[in-house]
Order: sequence, then structure tokens, then C-alpha cells
Amino acid sequence: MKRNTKLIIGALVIGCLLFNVSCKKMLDMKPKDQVDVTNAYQNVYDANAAVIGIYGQFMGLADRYIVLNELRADLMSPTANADTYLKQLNEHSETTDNPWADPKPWYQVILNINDAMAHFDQMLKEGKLKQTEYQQRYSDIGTLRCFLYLQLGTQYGTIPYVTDPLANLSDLNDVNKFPRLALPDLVKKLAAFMNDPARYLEIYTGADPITGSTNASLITNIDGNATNLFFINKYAFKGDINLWAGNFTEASKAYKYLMEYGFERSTFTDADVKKYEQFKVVSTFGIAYTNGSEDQLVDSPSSGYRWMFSNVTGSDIPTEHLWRLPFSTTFGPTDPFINLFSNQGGNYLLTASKSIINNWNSQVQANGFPYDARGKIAVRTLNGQPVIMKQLYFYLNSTTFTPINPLQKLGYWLLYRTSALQQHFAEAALNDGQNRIAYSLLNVGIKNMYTPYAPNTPPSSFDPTNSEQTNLAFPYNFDGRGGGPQNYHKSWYKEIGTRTRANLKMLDTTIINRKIDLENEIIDDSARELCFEGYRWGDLVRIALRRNDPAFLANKVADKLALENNPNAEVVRKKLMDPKNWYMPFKF
Amino acid sequence: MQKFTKTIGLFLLLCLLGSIKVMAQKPDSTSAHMADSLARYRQDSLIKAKSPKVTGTVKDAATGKAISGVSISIEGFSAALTDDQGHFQIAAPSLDAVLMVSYQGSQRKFVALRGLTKVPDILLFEDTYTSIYDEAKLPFGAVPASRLGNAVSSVNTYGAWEPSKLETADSYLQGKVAGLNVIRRSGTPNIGANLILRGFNSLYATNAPLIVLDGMIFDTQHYGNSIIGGHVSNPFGNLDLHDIDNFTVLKDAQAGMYGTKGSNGVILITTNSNPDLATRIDLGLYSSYNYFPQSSLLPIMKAGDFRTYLSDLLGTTALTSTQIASLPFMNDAPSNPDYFTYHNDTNWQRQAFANGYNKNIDLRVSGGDNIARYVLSMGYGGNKGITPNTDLTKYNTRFNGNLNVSKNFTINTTLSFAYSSQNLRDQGLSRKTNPMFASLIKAPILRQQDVNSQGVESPNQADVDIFGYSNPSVLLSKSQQYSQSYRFFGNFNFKYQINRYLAAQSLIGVTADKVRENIFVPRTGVTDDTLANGSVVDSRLGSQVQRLFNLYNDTYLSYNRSFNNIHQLSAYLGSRYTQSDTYSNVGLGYNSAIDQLVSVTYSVPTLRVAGGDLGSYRWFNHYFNANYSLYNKYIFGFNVTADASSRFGNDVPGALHVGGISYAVLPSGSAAWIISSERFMSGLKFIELLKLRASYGLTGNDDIGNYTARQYYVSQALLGQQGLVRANFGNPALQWEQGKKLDLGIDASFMQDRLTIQADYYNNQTTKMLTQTPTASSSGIVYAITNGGGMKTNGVELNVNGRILNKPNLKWDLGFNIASYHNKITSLPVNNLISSYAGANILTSIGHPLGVFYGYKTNGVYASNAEAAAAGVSVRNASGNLVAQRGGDMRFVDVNNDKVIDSKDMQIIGNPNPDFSGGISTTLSYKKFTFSALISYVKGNKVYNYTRRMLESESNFYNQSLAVNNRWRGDGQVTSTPRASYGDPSGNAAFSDRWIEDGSYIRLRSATASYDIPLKNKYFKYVKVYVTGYNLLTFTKYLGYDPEFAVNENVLLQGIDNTLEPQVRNVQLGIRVGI
Repeated sequence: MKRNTKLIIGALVIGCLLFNVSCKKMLDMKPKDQVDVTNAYQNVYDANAAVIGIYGQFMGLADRYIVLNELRADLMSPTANADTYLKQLNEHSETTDNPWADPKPWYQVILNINDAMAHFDQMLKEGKLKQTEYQQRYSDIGTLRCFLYLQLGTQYGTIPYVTDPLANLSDLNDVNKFPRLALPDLVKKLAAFMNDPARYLEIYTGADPITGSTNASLITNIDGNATNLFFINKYAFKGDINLWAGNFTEASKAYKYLMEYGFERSTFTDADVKKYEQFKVVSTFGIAYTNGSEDQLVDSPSSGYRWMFSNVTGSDIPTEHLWRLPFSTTFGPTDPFINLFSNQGGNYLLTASKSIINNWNSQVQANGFPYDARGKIAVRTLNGQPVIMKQLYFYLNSTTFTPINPLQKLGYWLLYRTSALQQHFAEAALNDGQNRIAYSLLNVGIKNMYTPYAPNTPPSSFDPTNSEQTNLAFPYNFDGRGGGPQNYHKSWYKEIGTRTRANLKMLDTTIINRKIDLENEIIDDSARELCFEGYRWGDLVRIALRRNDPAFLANKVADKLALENNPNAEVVRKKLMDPKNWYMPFKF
Repeated sequence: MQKFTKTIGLFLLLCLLGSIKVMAQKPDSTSAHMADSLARYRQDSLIKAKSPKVTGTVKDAATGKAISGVSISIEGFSAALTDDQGHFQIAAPSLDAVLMVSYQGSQRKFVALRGLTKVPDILLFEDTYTSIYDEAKLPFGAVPASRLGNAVSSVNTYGAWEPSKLETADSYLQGKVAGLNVIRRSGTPNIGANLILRGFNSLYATNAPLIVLDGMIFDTQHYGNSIIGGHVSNPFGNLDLHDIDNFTVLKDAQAGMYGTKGSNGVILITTNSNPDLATRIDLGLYSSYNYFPQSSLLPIMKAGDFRTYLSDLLGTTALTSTQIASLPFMNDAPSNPDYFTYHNDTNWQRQAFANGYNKNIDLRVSGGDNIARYVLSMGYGGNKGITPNTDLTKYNTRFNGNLNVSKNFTINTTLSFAYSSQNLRDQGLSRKTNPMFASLIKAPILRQQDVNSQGVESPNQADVDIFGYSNPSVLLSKSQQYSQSYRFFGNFNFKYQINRYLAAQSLIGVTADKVRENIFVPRTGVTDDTLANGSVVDSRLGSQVQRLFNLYNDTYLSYNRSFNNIHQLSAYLGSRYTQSDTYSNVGLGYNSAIDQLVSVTYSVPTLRVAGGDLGSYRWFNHYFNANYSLYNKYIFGFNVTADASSRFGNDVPGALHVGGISYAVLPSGSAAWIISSERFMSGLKFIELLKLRASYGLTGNDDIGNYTARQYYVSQALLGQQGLVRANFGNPALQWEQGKKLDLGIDASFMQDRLTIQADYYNNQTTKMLTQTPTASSSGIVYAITNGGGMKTNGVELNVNGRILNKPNLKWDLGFNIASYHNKITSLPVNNLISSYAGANILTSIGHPLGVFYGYKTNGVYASNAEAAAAGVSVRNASGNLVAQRGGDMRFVDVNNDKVIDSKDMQIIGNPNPDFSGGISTTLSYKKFTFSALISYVKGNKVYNYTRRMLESESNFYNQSLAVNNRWRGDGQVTSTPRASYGDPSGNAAFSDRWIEDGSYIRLRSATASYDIPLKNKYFKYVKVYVTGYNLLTFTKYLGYDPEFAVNENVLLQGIDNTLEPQVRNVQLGIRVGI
């Protein structure tokens, strides 16, 4: 009996000791239908899943990106259907409870990027990622983070610049992890990240450079969409952030590199026109008239100016699109633009401002038509209402402009295209003292401006051998020679300038020497070309900041309101004269 | 350093525990040695011979006659029997000893000597008498209430033969336990009740008491929602009430013996215990009738009133008078081809209720011998609901066995399996598919069947009407909502008696539970739905499976010893372990081709939605429990647990850390003083017992989510490709909610146990309460789950039982209990959180109770446009624009006087927590007749009548209540009902005190008359016939069907009537036979 007692107590003591050893393991229960942190980031496929997840989440920002950049600027206006919150954006009177002004969705993506970047570092250290795999992924989402921060900076002015992964809740209370940066400092930080020579700025490789295997590549096909345009174009962003930072040569270098991609670095053969067209403004997507009459504007889903908004599979589309993400009809998020813009199947909350309509109507086309025909494509009158069309061409029937299927909300988020590239290049060149190049890019193209006859067309016998080129050092070394007795096909020979593509009358060449006027023309033409695509607010802030001229921004916004008889127009003008008031309140 | 200190602390604690064992071991081994020896026997005899002798008489309390053969004993010392005159003489170790008096068929009684050698006459009541000596079945053994040091309530069911199978164990407790507020969720059979013991302790974690059934945790948590609208799957439905012997409710810090599962108290349930050796068969047969009286129907408009309302309403739409006149239902010419479609006076409401018969059978067989004893029970129930075509079929079996393997080794087992299948209909907020709701709002001018222009009715049921509303008769006859569930719950309990004082026990058991649900809503006759992606939904189909598997073990050493009849010590050292795995799989589909295809496999593949969940956790609860009593007068209890759980973060600040695990160390203690056992009390004969007790301790709540503490990733689609994104921040500091419980109580019994009183005051405080803590914008998340809140609940309880008449042939017992609690939130990471449900705002705010309604106060209706214009108040509508008020609009109280009614003018307009609640029970027995009744009541709770809000919103084509006849119709009319206005632009139907009502009620919960048929037949032990009525009478001012309802267990949704089936009235006739 006594022995029994001792035995049991002994067993109990041993049991207690063993318990604490095995207990930790037993209590470490990992979620079964989610992935525990200890199981994530084990190999390159996990790294890919992180990238895919980040871009998936990023798509949820599409409506914010467009609405904030357009409605807070001067090209978009709320309709009568818009709620208080959209009206607040229009009048720069955002309250902190305005869901559009909530910075959280941006940070949600940023923190995921931080987490992934920290894990990529770890994986590289542990040999779970090869150097090339690491650098491609790290640079890609790192650039996306810069893009997001630039957005936050332009919308909120001063923001917490978080790069720490914030592994657990207590990190949220560590103020050192949330350094606050004002827009100019932020831009410098972002430019430094992008200019780091370690960055891999090309698109993802389709195959492993060593093994040739394509298994781990992010360049693939999802639901019929090639993924190569899903990811941010890092050269384009590098150019943009340097343009913001005032490193104009650096910006031009990035733009130039990209614009000559087709000619210098692609696999296109000489027979392939894309070799000369890729990422340059050429006549392909231009405003054209079939027989010169006004009602014969080329306006079809697969040609002319509309083409680039209504087609993604056309063979020329990759020469214009640099970054786009498709909305799926089966997976979330649903295309938000249909609800915002469409008066059929949507709530028609936002429409084009009078200001942009006036802008288009202030132009004269080369054939004398007294308006810019791009406006006819960007905005259409449907059921008596002006409807922003750029994002709706996939949803509406191409001839009747009624929903193809009201429930199938098909559409794309077009984030970057060649027109933006060329306009930004023009701006960078202008600010880098290359006024003539800027003028050329905006107007008629390099080829046409670098002849002794410019701006007139040279005679057909003209030998361009020593002409049609800039003869400058990189990045301003353009060679636009084409034709002639030698039948030149140089890199820039097809490039025609943004205004020419839009069939607009050429600007007077005297403007070349009036830098501010020329820059104003670039910005005004950007409005006509890139409206509703998310560039406008950034353009206004950047120019106003660089010129230290708040009126540049304030007047444009206030004029929009005044044109629409908004009683608050003058209040807003006065308010925006102080750059501090450009920004939405940031709820820290 | 801190960690090191804690480790040392734990080591010392272990040493302390060890030394207790060692100390326990020493005398233990000697006495064990002595136990077998003759010397000991002699020594005992010698002591007894020297001890004082105590004498007394035992009598029957009712007849006053002496009883012979009553066993009188002093535990571990001496025993005696009464003689023919009821006299006894017994040796007592001291005059502070306690006599235990027991006699077959009578109550067991404990009599303190109080220094007397001749005790006053001992009166014995029958064994079903509610007395201060009733035993509470505590985890480590039964203890009479008179010796408890804690706040404990015990309910003996005596076979619970009266209730039908419509009653479940949770709803059965209504009105029976002071401080346990039982709110039945609805009148649906098996739906069960919310059990709220002493108010609330948590905001987001469970507030339900822990259920321990036969020593093993009976999991009553809900893992996932039902796909049947408004339905809650009730685990108690798979526990047959007739198997239950006893409920023992641990209300105070003693619940801390279940560590981080004890913060809401513990209800210990014992089934079919202690079978007799003789073979015994009990058979119960009973039928009952459910009915819903016409008088309980809500007063809603008939066709005439509705037509007038309709024209008023149409006048406020954008339609012109010509357009209105051309509407098919406005054309009163019999030549109108739609005349018969729109000229009816259908009482839809009446068709939504059906009466029904229920059949139930129970069989119980028990018996055995010295080696093995068993109880076998089986039951069947076929019950109808009050909604047409709904019913519930239940089968249950249970086997309880006790096996004596050897002198020292016993095995107890309980194995049970129950199955139920139930036909249901959507309830609650499913506006389009809840037949009860649809029948209330359906225009009375319409009819059930299609009809042609000649008025000839078609066999086809009418489709969705011109207003877009469902046909209730289709929902009742064609829709299918079906739920099947089963639960296996079984365990083996091995016990080895190591020596006289020391025993080891281990219980091991499993719970296997499955709920399967199928739904089908037809396309014809039901309003279409729209999916998030914009797809139109005609028919709705779905199926769901939820599974639960729990493994449970409880192993402990126990030590029980009395030292010289002065000190009594019992100590328990052990560990409980649970591993729980849950699984759910849900598939929803839409638009099957025809209404005959009802399985989700026939839905349109592209619209199918699949979901599910897997969850697991493990829980360890190491405990040490000691009870000590001195001179049978001073009772002390001590308890400490150290819990570890996979749910806790691994770095909980301030917790005990051992080997990388955070332990919840929760001590508690209690002390009681039985004043009446003191010698100076011997003169106060009218005091049978007087006891003061106090307890204080810590408890915990581990319902914090299985993985909340961990950082994990969830899938994020990029088109059809799945990536991973981080779902949360890891929170290694996440911990159990901590409860501090203080209880001060008094137990008293007077006049020879004719009157017993228990009164308690308690104060419960929750700290580290789980909250949604808003985080900085730069965190990217809306909120984090942290232990950032606190709550306080205090209250009082009183339980009184007495025998008013005590004649041999006439006995009348009356008992009542009343309880009141006050709940207050003491801290929140951010104040004033507002939740929304069914159009209500529910405020969570520091200093206020949980779940208060937050909305506008009203002050009548503007009698004229001029009056409204003079007031100059506008209402802010949903899109933020101001709408000026006009005549006939509600006059809302403009709190901040800014002439704008918006969220700034909201205030607290009602508290759903009652002022007090309780029950009254009475039993009158006359010869072979017994009448008993139970009354339950609640006072002072406010409820939100969502249903009435829908019936008085005057903003759409819903049929309206008769109150709407009193609406404002023209300038100068003074009324309290605002004008009819399509779309309600002025927000007259906004959430306001108009919809808040007093939910107080007093209800005759059950009333039974039974008769014991006198038998001379030797085969029948008894034959009892009875008739019972349930919910026969309810007194309330509430305007809805019934004032008792609960949306679900969410504490923020209490007191919201979202149109659930009302409580069933039921009359039952039964017979029970014992063989």
C-alpha cells in the first residue's frame, strides 16, 4: 500500500516535469485554415504568394487612387447623386470621418509590403531565395511601396514613413518605427530608394537566368491575363520620383531608357513596327478622321484613340500600356469605376468637370475643328448625362453604350501608359534646360523639330543624315532619322509628339523659350490627355511646389468650382493659397 | 530577472504543494496501518466509552409521530438507530459534533449538538422537501447546503417527469435559481435559452456559464452560425432533461476551480446517478397540444384600413394622381381583370400559426448487484412547432454504469447518444423568407392563390405581389429548412482508493457532435435577393455541416481525512485537459432550374459560395483544492489553478512563465461560519441554521479566439490566383479575461427548517476584457484585439423557501427567488462604441451597462406645418442632407439645440437589463393529488420592438398595425402617430424611443396537477397521471407577440425582438408507471 502511494506520487512528480517539456509543443497550435507565420515564407513560391497577395490587395485602392487624384483636382466633379463625402473632396473640406480620407487602406498594403520585404531579407540570409529571385521581388514591391508613399505624401502632406514590418502589436506603440516625413523629405527618401544601384528595375524574368526553369516566375497567365503588365513599371516610377525630387537628368535617363526599350533591348526585329513604336507617342492611337469629315472620327474599340481604353489584347496595346490591372468578374474586388461613373448599372456619382470640357473646347485641331477630339472619347453624353468613359469601355457595348451584361462588371485599372511617360519626359527635359526637346515631345516629335526647316516639313529630297537628331549626350541623344535616300529607321523616327497624335494644331515655336508657358502647356495637355486616370492632383502639387506658387493649384481647383457655380469656390481658392491646406487631415 | 523570480516562485509553490502531500502522507500511512489492526478498534471503543452520550427523538415533520429505525451517526465515530419511540442514544466525540440523521424516503438532516446532551426533537421531512440540507453535487463530491462555504444553488429534478421534450435543460432552469436569468430564445422547440448567471462579465467572449456534465465539460459553445435565418443550434437539445438528477450552480469564486473557463460560473449536472440494486422500470407516456390563441395575434389592418393607408401613402410618392388611379389595385370596378387579385380580405397572420400534437415516450431501466449497477434510459419525442409544417423529432439513449472491479478499484461510466431532426422556417431578420414576418406585412387585399378575372382560384400559389413581397403561404408550404444533429457524449471514470484517505481518479471522455443543415427557398412566390456581385437570386439553396470533437481528461489525487473529529481536511491535486477540434463546411447556392430541385448541387455553379472553418485548441488546467473545517463550524476553502492554453499569447505580461508558456494562476478562497452551531445559540430554538459566508477569488475566460494571439496569413486573390497577405498583428500579450469575484452571503433556516433563506451580495469585476482597440492609421488595420477593457457587475440575490401548511394530508410549499444585478463598463480603449442591429444602435460606453439602446427621444408629432416651421428643425438624412420637418413629422428632442436632428442628438433610450428577475414556485399536495406551479418574472427591462417598427413605419407597402389608423392626416390634428410618407424622408421611423417598450412580464410558466393512483397491484410500484400547462398566462404590457426572446447569445443584442416564434402554449396529459 505504502509502495503504491510512493509510486503514484513519484509518477506524478515525473509527469509534472515531463509536462513542461512537452507542453510548449502541445500548446503551439497553428491555424489550420490560415497560414501561420512560422509556415509562411519557406521558398520562392511563398515569396511569389506574398507578391500576388500584395497586388491583390493593392487593387482595392483603385477607386481611392482615381477619386482622390481627380476629384480633389480640377477635372472631375460630383454629380447630384454624390454623397457628402465626395462633395467634401470636391471642396477640400474633408472631415476625419470621411472614408475617402482614411489612410488605413494604403497602410494595409504598405505594411504587407514591409512584412514581405523583411521576410525576403530573412529568406536571402537563410538561402531560401536566390540573389536574383530576391532582388526582383524585393525591388518590385519596394517600388510599389514608394508609389504608395508618394500617393500618401501628395494627399496628406506629412505622413508616418513606416518601413518596419511591425511584427506584433507592441510595435505599434514604438514611435521610432513611425518617423513622420513631410512631402519634400519623403520624396527624397523615395528617390534614394529608387536610385539605389542595387535595385532591379526590369520586369520580372520569365525564366530563371541560371536554370531556365519557368516554374517560379511571376510572369505567367492568370485567367487569360498575362501578368507582365500587372507589376509596377519601375523605370517609369524611377523617372517620376526623380521628377518630383528635382533630379531632372536622372528622371530623363529613366524615361529615355524606357522609351528606347523596344529599339534597344527588345527582341523585336527591324520588320516589327513595335520596335519603333514601343513606349513612344506615335500615330497608332491618334485622333483621326476617315475622310476628313467631322462625323467620321475614328472611334472604334480596335482603332484610333479609343483603342487604348477598350482593348487589352490588340497587338499594339503593349506599346502604349505600361501598367494595368484587370478586374475580375468572378473574384473581388469588383470594378469600382462602374459604380462611380456609369449611369447604367452604376450610381453615377462623378462626372467630368466643366473645366476639362472647356479645356478641350479651347483647342483647335490641325484640320480646324474647334475642339480637342480626345474629349469625345473620354466623355460621352449617355441618357442626357455626361459620363466619364475611359474606364467603362469594357462594360458598355461598343456601339450602343448600354451595359453588355449589367452583372458582369468587366474593366481595367490602367495605371501607367506611354502618354504619361512622354509628358513627364517633356517636363523633366524642360526643367533640365532642354526646352526644345520638351517642345518636340509635346508637339510634333523630335524628328520634325530637328531639321533646318522645322517646324515645317522638309522637302521630300531632304537627306536627314546630319539632321533629325539632337546630337546631345545621354539622356538627350535622340535620333529621329527616318526615310531619306538612305531609308533610315532610327529609334525615334515614328515619334510624333503628344499634340500631333491628338491632331491638335502645333504650338507657336516662340513658346520654346518661355519655360513657364511651355510647362503650362505640358500640364494643360496632360489634363486633356490623361484626365480621369489619376495623374492630375500629382501634377498640380508638383508644379505648384516647384514654382512655389500655390495659386497655380488654388486657381485651377477654385476655377472648376466657380465654373459649376459652387458657392464655396472663393473660400476654397483662399484656403488653397496656403499649401498646408492642400492636404487631407491625417488621422494619426 | 523577473522571469527568474517567477520561476523561483513556481518552484516554491510546487514545493509547498509537495509538502502538503508529504504532510498528508505521514499521518495517512500510520492510520492506514492502524485501520487494519484490532488495537485501533479497541482504542476507538475506549474513546467512545469515555465520550458524552447524546439523546434525542426523531419525528415525522408532518404527522408528528415518532419514527423508528432512523440512522443517527457521527461521521467516522459512532452510529445508532432510533427505537420504536423514535429515541436514540449516541456517543459523541465532543458536544460540538454534528449528527447525521438519515432515513429512507426522508430528507437527510444534520443536527449540531451546540453543547447539548439532549437535542430538541428532530423533525424529518420527506426526501423531496426543499431544505437547507439539500445536497449540492460538487466536483469532488456531494455537500449539503448547510455545510457549504460558497454561493451554490442546487436544483433536484426528481426525474423531471413533468416537462415535455419541448423543454431543454437550459430553459428548464428558468425561475429556479436565484441569480440565473434564463431567457428562452423563442418558442421554437429545442431552441433553448440564454443562461445569464449574475449578469455579464464580457463584451466579446462568452457570457454563458460552463456546463460540466457528470464530471466532464459539456461544450455548449456555438462554432459558426446557422444558415437557417434566426436559428441557433442548441447543444442542450441533445441532452435529455429526463436523465438529469441534479443541477448544481457555482455562482461565486468557487467557479475558479475551472480556471479560465469559470468566469461565468459553472453549472454541474448529474445524470442518472446512484441506482438502486433492485431492478426498476419507469415508463412515461405523454401527449401534449401546442396552441396559439387568436387573441394573441397582433392587431393589424384589414383590407378597408389598408386601402385608405395605401392611398395616403401613394399620395406621397412621385406618382401623379392619374398614375395612382391607373394602378391595378386602385381600380375598384369589378370589370377590372385584376379585380379578384386585389379585392380580398385575407388574414395572413392567422395562417402563420398552427396548433399541433406532440407525443413523447421515456423509458428508464435500472438495477444491478454489488459488483455492477446500471441505469439505461431511452426516449422519443415527436413535437410540432407553432409554425405550420415545422416539427422536431428526438431520440436519446443513455447508459450510466458503476462497476466495482475490486475493493479499491471502481469504474463509473456514462455514455449517451442523442439524435434530433427538425423542420424549421426562417425567422428573425430574414424579411423576405421569414413566413411570420411576411404574413404580418403582406397586404390583406391580396390572396394566397392565383385567381383569374372571373374570380376562379387556381391551384397555383400566387407569386411575389405587385409590391414585391413574398407569399407567406409559399414560404410555409414550399420552403425547406432542415436541421439534423447528434451528439455522443461519454466518459469512463477510473477510481483507485490507495488507502483510507488517499485516492486517485482519472476521467477520460469524448464529445462528438455534428449538426447538418439544409435549406431551400423556392423561386416562385419569394422576393428575389441580390448578391454582392449584383446577381439576382431566385431560389436559395444551402447546406452546412458543423462538427465538434472534444477529448477530455481529468486526473487527480484526493485526500480526505478527519482528525479527532475536530479537523476535517480534504485536498485535491490534479489536472484537466481538453483538446477541441471544430470543423464547419458551408455551401450556398442559388437559382436551381426548377423548384423541385432543392439540393445545393442543382444551383448555378458560378454563383456557388463555399466556406468553412477549422479550429483547434488545447487547454490545461492544473489545480489544487483544499477544504478544511474546524469543529464543523468554521469552514475554509482554498483553490488555485494554473491554466495553460494554446489560445494564450506566449508573453503575457505579469503572468507566470514557465518553459515559454504563460500560465493563468487564479487563486480563490472562502470562509464560512455556522453561527447556529455555536453553543451560545442552543437557546434560540427557532433558528435551525445560521451561516455567514464570504468568498473572493480570481477566475478567467479563455474564449478569446483560437488564434487571435498569433500572426498568420490569409489568402488574397489576384483574379483567380491566390496570394497570401498578413491577416493580423501577432499579439503575444493576448491573455484570458480576468474576473475577480467577491461574494458575501447568509444561509439561514428557521422554525425547524420550515423556512429557509439564502441571501447573497456579490461584486464581480472583469479586467483584461477583450476589446476591439482602434489602432493608428499607419497600422493599416481598423482595430486590434487586445485586453483593453473592464466591466463591473454587482448584485443581490434572495432565495426563500417555506412550508406554509404541513398537515399529514395537506402540504403547501411556497418558494420564491429574486435577483438583481447592475452592470457597468469600467474601461474601454475608446469610449462610446456604437453597434447596429435591426436598425437599432447599441451603445457601449464607460459608466453605462452593456447593451443600452441609443437613439432619439421623441416628443409627440407636429400638429401643423406652421408649428413645424416655427420650430425650424431639420433632420439630416442618410446622404447628409438636411430635410426640414413639416406637420405630421415626429418631434425629436434636439439635445444640442442646433435645430438639426442628427447623430449628435442621440441619447440612451433604454436599458435591456432588468431591474430584477426571478421565479415563484409552489406545490400543494392533498392526499394523492399534487398541484404545482412555477411563475417566472422579469421587471424593468426595456426591449426594442423591431417588428412593430416595421408595422408602424408608414413608409412602404407593408401592412400596418391598427395604431397607424391614428396617423396624422391633416393640419391641426393632434396625434402621437406621424404621417404616412413613402420612403420616410423625414426619418419619422428612425430608431427612437417610439420602438422601445417595457419588457416586464410575469408568467405562469408551468402548472401541473397530478394524481397518484392508489394500487394494490404488486407489479406496479406507482402509477401517476398528470396534466400540465405551459405558458398559460402571461401578464405584460409588451405589444409584440411575447416579451421573452433572444436573438442569440451576443450580449449587445439582448432585448431585440426581431420577429421570432413566440413562446408556445402547451397543455400536456401524461402517465407515468413504475414497475
